[in-house]
Amino acid sequence: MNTVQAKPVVAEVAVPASNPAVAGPELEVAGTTGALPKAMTVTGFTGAFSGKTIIEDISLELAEGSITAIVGPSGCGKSTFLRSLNRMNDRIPGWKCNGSVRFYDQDVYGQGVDLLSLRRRVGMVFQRPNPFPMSIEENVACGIKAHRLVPRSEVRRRVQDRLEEVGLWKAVHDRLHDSPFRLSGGQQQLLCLARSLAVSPDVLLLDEPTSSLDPISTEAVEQLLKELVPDITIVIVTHNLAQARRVADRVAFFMDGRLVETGTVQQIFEDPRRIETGQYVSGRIG
Amino acid sequence: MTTVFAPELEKAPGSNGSPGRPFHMLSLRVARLWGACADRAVPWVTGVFAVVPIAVLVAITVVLFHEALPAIRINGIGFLTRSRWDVGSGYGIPIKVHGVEMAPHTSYGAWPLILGTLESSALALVIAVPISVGAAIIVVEKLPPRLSRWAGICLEVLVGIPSVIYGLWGILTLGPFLSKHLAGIADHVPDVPVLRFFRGPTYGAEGLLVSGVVLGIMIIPIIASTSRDLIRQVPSSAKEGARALGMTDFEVVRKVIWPWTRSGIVGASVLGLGRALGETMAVAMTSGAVLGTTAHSIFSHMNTIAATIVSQLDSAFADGTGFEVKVLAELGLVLIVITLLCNFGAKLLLKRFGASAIAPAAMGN
Repeated sequence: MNTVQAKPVVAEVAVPASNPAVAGPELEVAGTTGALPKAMTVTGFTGAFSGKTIIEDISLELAEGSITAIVGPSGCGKSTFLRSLNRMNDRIPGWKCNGSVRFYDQDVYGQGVDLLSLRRRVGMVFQRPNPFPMSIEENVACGIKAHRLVPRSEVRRRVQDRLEEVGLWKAVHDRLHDSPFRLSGGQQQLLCLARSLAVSPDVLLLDEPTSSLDPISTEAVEQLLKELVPDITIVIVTHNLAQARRVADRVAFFMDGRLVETGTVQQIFEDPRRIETGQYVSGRIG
Repeated sequence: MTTVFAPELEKAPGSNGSPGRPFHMLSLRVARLWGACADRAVPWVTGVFAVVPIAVLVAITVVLFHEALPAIRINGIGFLTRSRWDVGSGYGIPIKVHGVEMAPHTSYGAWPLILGTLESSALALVIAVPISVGAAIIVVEKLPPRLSRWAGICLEVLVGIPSVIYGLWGILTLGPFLSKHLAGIADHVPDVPVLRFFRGPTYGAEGLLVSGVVLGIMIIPIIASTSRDLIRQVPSSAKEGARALGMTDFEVVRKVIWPWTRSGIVGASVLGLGRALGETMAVAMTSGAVLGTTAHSIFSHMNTIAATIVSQLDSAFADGTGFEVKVLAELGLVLIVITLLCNFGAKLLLKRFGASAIAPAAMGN
């Protein structure tokens, strides 16, 4: 909790008092912090697979440099929502959506959006480590090379920087050309994080990144996330409420495809305004 | 009878579906005995099944070798390098060399056939591998599921078309088409080393090019359907990871799908190569069936080992001395050796370039 207070990013400005929690539509706006630019703004977003609505009327703002945790019971649309932020659902047959998602001043679902550069700037880390079938070094380097972010001669340097950043350099510096599949699960996930960070994203979406990891690796990942802000805006989907408490600045509670409530960690866990939120965070539902 | 320990069953007569009758202990005993026997038998039975393919390969090779031995002794190592193929004078008085009877003035050389086999198969691979792998990638990655299923069915139907149909199509349709449309180009290919091979008269409906193309089309379904299954097994998480990094479809193929499936695709290609090396009927119909000369250009008539065996079989049986049959057996032996060498070569290639050193162990070797 104290780390949350120490965050320079999310001001403690509460939701406008004029918006009482009870009757209002769920879309009370998260983080109306005014001063901070919004890395992403979602307005009235609805998504469906083959006609079955998965998420409905979501509105959410992500303040630049903050960590937002998305929590909620299984099947409530958390991951689907996260994946709509960089259009990872597009390739799934039957996916339809409307509403608006903005990345700074760019319409994510607008016409003529360069998906490749959007995904470079809005990166994603998945539930299970998914290294590519190439050497450890190449795993981190491939994104840098694909986007030609630095001259070839500097790629190696950049790879080392990223591996150091995620705390993996010491463990792998003498086997950069080995297969990543020989690393432990936690190390593989850190490698995937390094890979995502290597292309200098502005926003990083994490879909339960520690659910397949042991406690020590989990701590390493959480520590890293805290170090990454405020340079990067982070959204993390998690089943683990304690994790949300530890790492997040703000929490968004999803249920049945709707965004029930958002607020600071303190507010959601100690003073939720919706009954469902209270029941969920106290373990009575979900 | 009561030595079998099943108290709960003993106490519940009739509970086994036949009301009023006591539980039949014998059936339980028989079932257990049967189970025990089956457990013992499994390693033996599976062991036998495992040995069968090896035994068949060895048996075929041994029989062929035995059959071919007189020819091997007479023809010597020069059989592999000589070109002339002359069945001799069938009406002359048979002569005896080292105790082996044969028609006079015979000469058997396999070099043009070996070369023709390798050339046509190589051509087939060059045509089939890129098309198959490309098709497999598109079927898995790009087509909507329903279309993809139909494409799969079509591929499987293609495997089932008899080779004689491919041969007919080759000689009636493809051959004339190629010779007509390539004639203009073939005349203008510069007369320099390497390129010279693609120059010259296109002859007609038969030749190396037609055989190669027909063979290529024949092995496309084999390579494509195997590749498709391999590409399907690439975990979608890795592909999504690459897309989430902002990679293009092509980069996803190059960085994720290809490394993951490379060794399997080489294996599939060897499977296709095996088929191409041994394909008989389609080649016999489209090759031009020339004996004794190697192909001067890609349009030349040629012949392969398999096609020669089938086309010469009649004349071999007409050979009263039986020597030509033995020569054909020797040819068969050469074909087996070539096929095995290609298989080993592919294995070596994979080992050398460590195709799967990086990919996870779960993905085969």
